[in-house]
Amino acid sequence: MTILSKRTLLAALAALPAAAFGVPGAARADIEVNVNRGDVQPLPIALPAFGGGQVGADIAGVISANLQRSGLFRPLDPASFVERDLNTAVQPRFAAWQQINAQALVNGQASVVGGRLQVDFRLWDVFAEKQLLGLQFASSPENWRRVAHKISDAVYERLTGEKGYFDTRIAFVAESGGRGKKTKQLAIMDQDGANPSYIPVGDGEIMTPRYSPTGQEITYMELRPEGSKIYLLNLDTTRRETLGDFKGMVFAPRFSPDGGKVAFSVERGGNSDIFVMDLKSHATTRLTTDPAIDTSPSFSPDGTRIAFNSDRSGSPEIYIMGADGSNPRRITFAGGRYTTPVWSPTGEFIAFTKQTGGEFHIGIMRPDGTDERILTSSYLDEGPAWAPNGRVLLFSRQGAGGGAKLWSVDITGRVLQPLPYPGGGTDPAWSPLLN
Amino acid sequence: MLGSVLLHATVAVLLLVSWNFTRDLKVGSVVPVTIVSQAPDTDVRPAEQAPVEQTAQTEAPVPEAPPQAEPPVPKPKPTPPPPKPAPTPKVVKPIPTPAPAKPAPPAKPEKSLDLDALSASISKLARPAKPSSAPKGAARAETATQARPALGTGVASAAMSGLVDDLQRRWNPNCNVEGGRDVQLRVTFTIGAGGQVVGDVAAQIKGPTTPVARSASDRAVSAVYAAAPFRTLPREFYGEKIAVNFNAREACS
Repeated sequence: MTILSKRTLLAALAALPAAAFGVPGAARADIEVNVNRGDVQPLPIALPAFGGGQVGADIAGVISANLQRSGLFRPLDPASFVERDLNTAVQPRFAAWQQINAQALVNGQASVVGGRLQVDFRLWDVFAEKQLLGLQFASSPENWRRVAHKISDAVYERLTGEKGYFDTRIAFVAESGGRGKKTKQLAIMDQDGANPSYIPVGDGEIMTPRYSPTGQEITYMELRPEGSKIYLLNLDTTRRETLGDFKGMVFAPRFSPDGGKVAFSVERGGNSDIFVMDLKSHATTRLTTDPAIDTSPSFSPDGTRIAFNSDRSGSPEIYIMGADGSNPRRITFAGGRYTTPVWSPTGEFIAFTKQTGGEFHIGIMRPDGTDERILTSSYLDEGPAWAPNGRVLLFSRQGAGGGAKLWSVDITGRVLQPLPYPGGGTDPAWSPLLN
Repeated sequence: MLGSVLLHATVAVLLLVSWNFTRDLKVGSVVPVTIVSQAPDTDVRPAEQAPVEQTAQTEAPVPEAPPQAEPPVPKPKPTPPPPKPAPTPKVVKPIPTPAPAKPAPPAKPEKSLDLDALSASISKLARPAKPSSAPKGAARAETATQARPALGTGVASAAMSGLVDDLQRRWNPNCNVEGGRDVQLRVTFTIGAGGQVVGDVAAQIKGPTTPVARSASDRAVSAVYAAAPFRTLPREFYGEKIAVNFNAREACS
């Protein structure tokens, strides 16, 4: 009787974890344990130089740098590699990689065939001893960096389950020259700071460039002594057109998620309000009418709502309203001055600039205003822009007396680093993943 | 008459005593009963484990492991040399030693086991086939009396917590990806000789099979392979199917 009840209790205890998981075949296991802790660290990954000479080594180097900057990976020192001369057609000697505790291995081969660059790579799970991914990319040889970014995205996505963000570009306002002689230009570069190019678009001061959802257009504001204008710039043709002439100052343009509209602010007599323009019909609709400063509109990814900044309560706070201007409601109440709300591409967060305690911060919060997380603090951090996967933010940071530089931070706040671009920059905008 | 009264009184006292005893056992004796059924196997063959472990250890330091790593199906894993002492002594030592170390009555181990087992979330199912080893024990009564407290207190639960420790050291959950900490996985595998993983490691995802969950399940499976061989497991666990619930929410908090 006693033994029976013991067994019953034992069975009940053993079944607890299984029941919690609701797994039908759970009872088939003889022993069941729960693992509630882990060794949480960037994933150790081995990225030996790809075959194919210098270009192969360069491609592996770019992939390694991309993954490292994400903060989710720790590329291992190539000096520790035991197995050399890997071949994409042959399984690696897993024991040699297990020995150095690599959890993943990427090997590849670059070759130029008929004037085209061809790059094969394999991604291996070192301890499970299986191939996770094997792809081939072809492009023109001068495009090798982009091939490296595409491989980075593929590896990142396979190992994290999240879309990558490496085959993307950044539009920003490049600053050069000292005080009083500062020049500002619209510029575009790869997300890793490579291949910067400067676009001559006008004599005025360029501000707040923003990508269209396709990545083929940019909208920005140009400030001139006689006033400001908002432009649309086609990046393929470099042709630009203005959104139109408005009475007063126009600023803070941003595309809707379908690319069919641009929301922006117009300031007249100290009162600025938010408008939206249909890009086909050029019909303009006023969304806010409050006698306060309403600005920085940013659409939710589904296009049904707009986050914006308003001082209607006495200090700058973040509000949410319908895309037609209906039901505006405040979501920030924690104190401080909130500006530049930007909805994340996943819809889960709104990034913002916050000023409090004599410092500026970049932070994120849920769209209902909860779960606020301050990610950065400095003399002047501002202008957050989301990576297309919603995991990383760009912003500009300026020290006391120094010029502004572009920085990135992930949504945990742990991976904070300057962008590897040597010049100064402000107003970053992150493109969607390129096709 | 007096004899009859005395007899009744004795019977009543005995009943009371046995009732109390029964209750005591009920409180905290769940795990020991199961483990005792496996005790006889444990202390019989410590020596047999040595060769398996040695083989694995000689593989690890030799960089020419490749030819060995490729052909064998059961995947001899060159485990990281540092933290793991030879498994044999681990298994062998505790069984005889703890018995004298814990001279306390069987009630003590039962209490601690209950709590330990719960807190460590370790459970061992009583398989229908195994309990029959209890009756077998008639010939091994002496062994059983020594092994019970030993296994009940330390060996089996130490083996289990050793298994969990090994997995924790090797499991790298992706906490920094949105949704990564919400993934719950159940990974099953079979333990072979020397604590090796035999056959495939299977993962079940609780909830939707998203790309994040898929990569999380790859990481959990990889952790099992990386942690093997599980040298803390005594021989009687060989052939057992083990289910591991990887709880990312806890691990990431």
